[in-house]
Amino acid sequence: MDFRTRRESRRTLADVILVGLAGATLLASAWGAVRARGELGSVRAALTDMRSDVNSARARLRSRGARRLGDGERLASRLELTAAAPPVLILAEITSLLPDQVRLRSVSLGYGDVVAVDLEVEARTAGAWDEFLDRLSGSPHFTALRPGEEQRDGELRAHVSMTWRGQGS
Amino acid sequence: MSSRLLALLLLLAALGLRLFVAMPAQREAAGLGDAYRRARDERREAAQQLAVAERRETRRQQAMASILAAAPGDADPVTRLRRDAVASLREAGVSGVRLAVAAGRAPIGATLRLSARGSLVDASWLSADLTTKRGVVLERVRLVPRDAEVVIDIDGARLLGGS
Repeated sequence: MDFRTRRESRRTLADVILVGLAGATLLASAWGAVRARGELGSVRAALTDMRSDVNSARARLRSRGARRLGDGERLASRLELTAAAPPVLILAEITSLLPDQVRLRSVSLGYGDVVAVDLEVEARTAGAWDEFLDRLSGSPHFTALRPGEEQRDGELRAHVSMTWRGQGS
Repeated sequence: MSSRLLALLLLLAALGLRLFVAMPAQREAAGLGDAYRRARDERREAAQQLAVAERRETRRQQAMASILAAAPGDADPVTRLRRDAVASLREAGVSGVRLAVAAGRAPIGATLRLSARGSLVDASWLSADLTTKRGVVLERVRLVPRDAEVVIDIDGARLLGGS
């Protein structure tokens, strides 16, 4: 008896199935790779657009910030800021940020292109002063924080300048 | 080439595509996705700042219009501002008052410089009354605590024809 023909036929079928499965796996993998590359391209394009938008918005903000106001505009700015940022409002915001061990020695507000705020402060401990600075820098109402000279002789006396950012109005 | 060898090669190719093409692309896309979210947050913040700046610009334009509309025919802006300031100081109930009112240059009718002492509430009321009721435009305000009270210094001005 000769069983060769039957054995070869079984092997051929198994091999075809094996190669078919491997081919299908390759196709699926290729499809996954194409999709991944496609998604990467989309994300890259979206990121490029987004960065372009960010740069454009920043440039507009910079150009606004860099523009120097004339005398009339500065007066208009003072008029606008007097109404939008009265001393009571700014003072209330500052006192709400004061730690217990920090005392205000003076508050100066200068109305011009912006409201410039200058504080002279007395703190019982350096930690309290640091905490006050942290609170000021974390406040959404102030920007351009510039701590000045500090005198540490028992109590700490210090100066800090900043700009009133407003209340988002 | 035997069928098993061919199948092995195909599987290796599939693995290679997964390892060297698909997975690096997915990793890079995930990294870019984080950058995208950061950029989106930056854009939102910049847009908010721009909106605030634009609203401020609008208000400034309105203020500019009121400056241009300042009445040049104001006969005696110095006396009027002095009288208003004295009334405001009296109503605030502050003490230790120093007051100087001088003529301004158009469109400013008169300038004001005052110093007074009182409680924080009285000092706050004074500044609010001068700005909202008397039409004083602020230039500088300084508050200095003194014992249980505060000394308030105000430099300001009023437009010609201002109330």
